[in-house]
Amino acid sequence: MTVNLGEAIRPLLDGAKVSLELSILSILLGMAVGLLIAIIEVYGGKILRYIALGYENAIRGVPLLVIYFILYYSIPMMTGFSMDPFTTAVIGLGIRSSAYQSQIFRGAIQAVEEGQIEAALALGMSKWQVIRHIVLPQALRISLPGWMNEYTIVLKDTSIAIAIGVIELTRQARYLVSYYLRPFLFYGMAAFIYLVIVLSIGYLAGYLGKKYQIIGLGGGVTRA
Amino acid sequence: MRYRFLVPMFIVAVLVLTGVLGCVQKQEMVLVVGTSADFPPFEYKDPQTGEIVGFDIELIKLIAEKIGYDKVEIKDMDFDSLIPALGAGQIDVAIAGITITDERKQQVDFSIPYWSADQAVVIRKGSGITINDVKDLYGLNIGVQTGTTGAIYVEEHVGENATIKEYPTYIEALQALITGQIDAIVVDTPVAQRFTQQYDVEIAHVFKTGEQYGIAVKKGNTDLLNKINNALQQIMNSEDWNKLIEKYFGSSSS
Repeated sequence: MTVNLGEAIRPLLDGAKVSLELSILSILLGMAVGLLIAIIEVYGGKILRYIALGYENAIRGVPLLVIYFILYYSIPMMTGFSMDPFTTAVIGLGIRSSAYQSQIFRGAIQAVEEGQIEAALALGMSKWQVIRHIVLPQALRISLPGWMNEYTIVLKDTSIAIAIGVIELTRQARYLVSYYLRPFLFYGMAAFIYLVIVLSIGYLAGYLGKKYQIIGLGGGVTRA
Repeated sequence: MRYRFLVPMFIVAVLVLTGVLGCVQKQEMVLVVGTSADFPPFEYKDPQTGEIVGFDIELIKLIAEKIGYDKVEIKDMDFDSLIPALGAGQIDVAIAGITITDERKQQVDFSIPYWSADQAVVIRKGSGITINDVKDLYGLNIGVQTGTTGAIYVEEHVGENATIKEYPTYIEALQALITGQIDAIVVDTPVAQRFTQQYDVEIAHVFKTGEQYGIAVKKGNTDLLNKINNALQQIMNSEDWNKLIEKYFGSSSS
């Protein structure tokens, strides 16, 4: 069977769009939750801190596939409440990523010099003001390389979402492979698309890192 | 001030009512079918149209029509996810060339068998291997797909007498055969036939094992299962059945 590449590239691009959307929504959800967990772990009270640590460790210890199965199969079986596959995939991947991102942000928050925080408190800023105006602007810059790395992991983990029926890039490649029996060609094309996405996002992160660079802040200068 | 609340409330009420009425009016009977579209010719995605098609897909559409469903919705997922999806009610039936086994019967209910497959030994053309008996496999490097009946068959009948290499899917096994890493593959006959159409390989022998494919429903869903069995029986006795086989397997069907 001859392969029409022009025809084959279309489903791959459709799949790439799904993977890209899924990865971006997931990393953003993971960022929102992860940042909150990180702030609680560093500045929270004792009880809150234990809850955050418990969440982080529980999620980090569970494989993504199991998270998906719980969200998509176990919860509907127990409660009757179910979500569509894509939403479930965003939540599952977002939750998983939030645990990893919390550690990226925690490290970055703790890298901000103690003296600055003391100085800000001495000037009469509230704890929240210190976090918002002193810590986070620096911590987010410091965390950019680690965060970029996390994104590449999230992007490639989107392929696991076929377990709950999300038709993403790897699945589209698999359709072609099973039809034409040409694994190297189609998995190769899929790999190339993943690479292009990762490089583009890396370039974007590098650009942002440069644009918002603070002279003198170590770690803020980034090459993603 | 009061009127300010009345207007949005009125709008909301109208929206809700039309929504509810809309649902009542077009209450379509939809059969949600789970499959794993990487097993041609039973189920696969046609690269030309982008639609999921195949023998199983057309069969389940015929069955749904006979039972009286208005529509069939195909949900593609991992093969391993089909049984959990049935359990969770995400799909009504699963059809994906599923072999009826005792382990699977504990988790789902199966229809009457609609297909019977055997195990084929595939070799490279001109490799000079002749297989007439299981014993002819002794001493060879044999590739199988993990967890399939082919793998179990080779394990049981050849065991220590040959080198058995397991691959995650039959596609990797096929690549290994072509590149000369193994001497033979043992797979389901329909898969083997496709190999011979696209690569320089041939079927050396067929072991009559008679695995039966069935349609799976959630355990205890006897009502749907009875309807499926009735429809399936009618279809298998009709001209449609031969047409379906002709369309997807040509004349060389089993």
